[in-house]
Amino acid sequence: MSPADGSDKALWDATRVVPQTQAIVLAGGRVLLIFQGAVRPLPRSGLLIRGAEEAPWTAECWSVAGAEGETWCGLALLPSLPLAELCVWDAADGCEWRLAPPARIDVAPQPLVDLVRGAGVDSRAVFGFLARHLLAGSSGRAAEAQAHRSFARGFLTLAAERDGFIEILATPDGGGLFAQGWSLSLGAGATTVASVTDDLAMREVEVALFERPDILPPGRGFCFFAIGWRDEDAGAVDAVFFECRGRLLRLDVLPGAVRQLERDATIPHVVAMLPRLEAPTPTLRAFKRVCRPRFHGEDTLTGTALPVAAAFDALLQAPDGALLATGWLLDPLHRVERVLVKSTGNLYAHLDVTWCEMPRPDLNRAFATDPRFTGGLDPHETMHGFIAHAPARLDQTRGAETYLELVLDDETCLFQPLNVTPFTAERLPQLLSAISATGPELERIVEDQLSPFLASVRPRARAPRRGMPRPMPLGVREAEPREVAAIMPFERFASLQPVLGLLAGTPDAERMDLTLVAPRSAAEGLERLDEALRFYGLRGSLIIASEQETLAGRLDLGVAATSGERLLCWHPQALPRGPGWLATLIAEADALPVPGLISPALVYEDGSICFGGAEASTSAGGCAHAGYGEVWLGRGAPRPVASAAAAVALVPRELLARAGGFAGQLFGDAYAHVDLAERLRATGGASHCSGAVSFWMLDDPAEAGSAMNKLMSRIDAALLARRGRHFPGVPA
Amino acid sequence: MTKALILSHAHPTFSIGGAQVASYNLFQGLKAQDGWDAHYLAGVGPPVARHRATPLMSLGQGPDETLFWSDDYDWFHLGSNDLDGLMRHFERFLADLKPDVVNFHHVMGFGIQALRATRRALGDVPIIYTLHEYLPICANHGQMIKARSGALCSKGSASECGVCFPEIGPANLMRRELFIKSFLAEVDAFVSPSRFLLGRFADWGLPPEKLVMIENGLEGGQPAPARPLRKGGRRNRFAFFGQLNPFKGIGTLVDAVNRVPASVWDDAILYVFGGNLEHQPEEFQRQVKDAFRVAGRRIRFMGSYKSADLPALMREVDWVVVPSTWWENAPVVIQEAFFHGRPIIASGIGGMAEKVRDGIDGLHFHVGNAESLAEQMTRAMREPALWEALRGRIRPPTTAGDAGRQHAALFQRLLERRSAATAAPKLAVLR
Repeated sequence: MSPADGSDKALWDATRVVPQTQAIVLAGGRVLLIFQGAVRPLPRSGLLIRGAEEAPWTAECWSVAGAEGETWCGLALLPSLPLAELCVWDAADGCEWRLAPPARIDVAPQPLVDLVRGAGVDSRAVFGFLARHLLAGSSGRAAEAQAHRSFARGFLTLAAERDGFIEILATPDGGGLFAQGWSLSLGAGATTVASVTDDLAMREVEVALFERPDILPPGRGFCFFAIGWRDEDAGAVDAVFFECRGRLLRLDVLPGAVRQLERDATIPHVVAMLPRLEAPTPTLRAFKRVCRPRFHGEDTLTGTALPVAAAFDALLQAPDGALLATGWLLDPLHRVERVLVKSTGNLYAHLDVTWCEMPRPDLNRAFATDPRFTGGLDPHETMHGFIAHAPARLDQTRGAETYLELVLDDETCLFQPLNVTPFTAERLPQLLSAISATGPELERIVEDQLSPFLASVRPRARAPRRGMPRPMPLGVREAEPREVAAIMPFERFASLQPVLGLLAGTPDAERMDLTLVAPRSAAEGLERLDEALRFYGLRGSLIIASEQETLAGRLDLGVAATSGERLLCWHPQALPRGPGWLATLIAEADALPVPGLISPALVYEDGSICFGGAEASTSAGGCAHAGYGEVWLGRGAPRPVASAAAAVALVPRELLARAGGFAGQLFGDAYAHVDLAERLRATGGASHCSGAVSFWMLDDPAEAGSAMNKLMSRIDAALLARRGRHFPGVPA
Repeated sequence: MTKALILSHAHPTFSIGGAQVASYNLFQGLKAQDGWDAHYLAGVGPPVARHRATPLMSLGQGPDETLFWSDDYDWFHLGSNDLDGLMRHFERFLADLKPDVVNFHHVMGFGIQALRATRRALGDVPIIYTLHEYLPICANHGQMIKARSGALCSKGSASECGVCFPEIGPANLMRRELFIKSFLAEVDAFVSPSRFLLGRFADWGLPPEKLVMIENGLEGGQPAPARPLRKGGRRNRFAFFGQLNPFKGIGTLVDAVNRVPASVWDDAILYVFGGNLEHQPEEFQRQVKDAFRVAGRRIRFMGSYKSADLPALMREVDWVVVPSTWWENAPVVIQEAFFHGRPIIASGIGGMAEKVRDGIDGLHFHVGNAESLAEQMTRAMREPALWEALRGRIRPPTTAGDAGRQHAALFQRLLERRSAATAAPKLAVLR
């Protein structure tokens, strides 16, 4: 930059002076500066200097051939009207430009039109400048943005050359705008036009041409279809602008002369035109789509004579509106090109591009004698089933007719009305029962279809306090609750025997009330529990839970039925390795820097590590040293972990309540502890692995769970992964 | 008078077996000690009928003998499913009997929880557990034999046992071990008549300081004289005493008999005194019967016997064969054979190898190896001086009285230790 006294005048370059400028003041105060007569192009970006003020300089230049040789003109967008000479610092070249103050100030686009017509600047380039810098940047007030569009529309109207006329306008049933007329320059295919109604809008259109004997060459008839034209009045269209070889051209709508087709007449008209249209195939297909039949509430699929059959087993809707469709499609001749779920509420879900196919060999047998499929069904081809998630909004189906639309290869359609069923977690077992837990497609089904659908589905509501099962006292009777409420869900009485045997007579038993939670199916033999707890000198209670209750849900029942200030979630697979563990664990918990869950380390029966605690940021497995010898187990102070062990953990009651209880936002039990750890973290808690207490972990792989539970676990893992967090042991 | 309660899973009057006999002999031996009284409590079950009001019964036995009826036993965990019965009747009986010391010989029927029930009822009285086999360690009938291959097992652990019982799984086997050990923790001393067996339990994790070796006592009656030989006669009468089950090695023995050349065998005889073949797996029954058929006149099947019959039976026997294919502990049949001065041909493993000294008072052969056994039997028949030499070095087995004295001494030590332990806090208070 030059000092104010001009002491570095030697740097001045006379060629960097712009003698002519005009200004157009825009709505909101910004200014469009037109500059002409420069002997070299001005910088596209730089620094505009006015006294002590600096502002970004944005401009575009175009060369102009004149009698005195090539000069440069251009446009710049300024923050305000310059009243004196302008300085522009070109950082790239390290020099300064000086622009004369505007000789003319206007508010209409006419100077731009003069620039195009007088200097021969490409009108497309000028409009492009407006589109890039003025329209695209109109992020401010709506009124200002509209004023800018109005300004651009004014320029288009003045600058564009008439190229033809629009003679017919129509809005088909399915939306969009159909226009027909003639043009000298419009080409076939996909293109962008600017339409002018009350406002300026850019539209993607498909253009087809046809011969017009009444129009002299190069004039030709055209039809175009703009799918994105919605909710706007076709009658308000004044003109359509397009660009051809650098020129802006205009197709005018002559008021009173244009023919507005009735909605019912549109499709017959397009159908009649189709044989005459010339365009690339995708464009012609777009016109064919315009002609597709529409859904009128009737089932045309069931009775079709075509070799196509389909049915939905269910169309489920999640609370957030997402849809999950399960069903099948029998289409041995591949006549179906699109499988759509649509609604009169503007739902458009294209299923077959994202669905997962599933085997349905039963359909081959069921349709073997159907004349539509005689000889056409390949017995080796059984992937007729599908499951598909489709994003949707509730308002797109609420109060609307929802239907299946099969688009065939000849652009005809088959329809079938569909019922949308609201989905709650209670329906999950039924949904999953139709899915093979072992097929190779399972992973995709879980990750692509089920987990996005279930993301907004809440697990089953927890049992309300009213009507909760009453705990039955067991063993030694005392009035005052003990410090620790140990809650142990179990399935078989036999699994408790080692627990009771190892607790009996220990100081650990003295500090706890043992609350056992079992499903009714485990009730056989439970009458012996009371005598067993009496025999072993233990104190506790029994809660019978419903069969469907998850393990976490059972733990919550236990929490609700007890009042100990500390909660010990304890599964009978975990057995203490010696007495005195509870006091140690409590002491460790009390010394934690951040209160939370603390689990003993867990060791398998062969002495290998099951859970030794992994630092939150390490390990792809459930534990950094899982399977290693016990010598790898860290000793000393408790270690922070991503999540405590599911099998046994101690937590303050108050903290658990803050985190929302054991049951969280997952459907199964496999990752309930991970979910809990996440919720604890969100409420300021943490998870730890004890450095001084270890338990045996005696889980039996043979009892790893049903196929349904495994599937549920995969879904939960996918849901956790969707939350964007990686936890050890949870597949990313 | 110090009172001991001896518990056995069965009464020898109703069920013959080594542990029953050993425990009953101890009961008798203790009563014979000055300053000692004893009571015998034995398990009993179906087909004996239970009385409606109580599982405790006498079944016509002596005034210091009681039976405890049970029918709800968990064989896998060695546990009782009837804790209520233990609390209401077993504990009541203990509380009324007030023994100073309790000695378990097996917990079958009672359930291993009877150890804790004893604590509940009697507080800190010394509890002694006499180990007769490896049931706490091994779920395969306490034999420590691989369930699938039949091979000998030398160490019990959840992982290794899981290979024997994959359908149960190592976790459940570990659960079993922890469950059993939680009760064995109540025991003050473990007694066994075999160092070998104690070694196995030490390996399994029982505290070595609690392990005590005391031989079983035997009341053998009158020793049987040696079988008279005619001139030129040979010591070629062999006998097998015991259960006809796969672990006792009867198959190996019959096979060996069939392998001995006829020229050697000549008029030799193998007497088989044993029963319960009909209770064995059908395949095993078929194998034994086929082998017996092949052996023909070489073998005489004599059926089951009672202890009281032994002196008479031994009169016809020169050698006793103990071909067990499991480790054994301290087989009573070895004591009985030695009591009657009969050298033994035994499998060279475990409790048999410990009790029978190869080349001193008996001969060893390779366990389960019929050819090896046949060689030793051939040697026994061909070497005329061998029988006398071995017989001459036999040491008389421990008598019931001896065993009683040794047990009484152990019990006394435990009682004194308990007294010292209970006295200690008082001294502390006095200070």
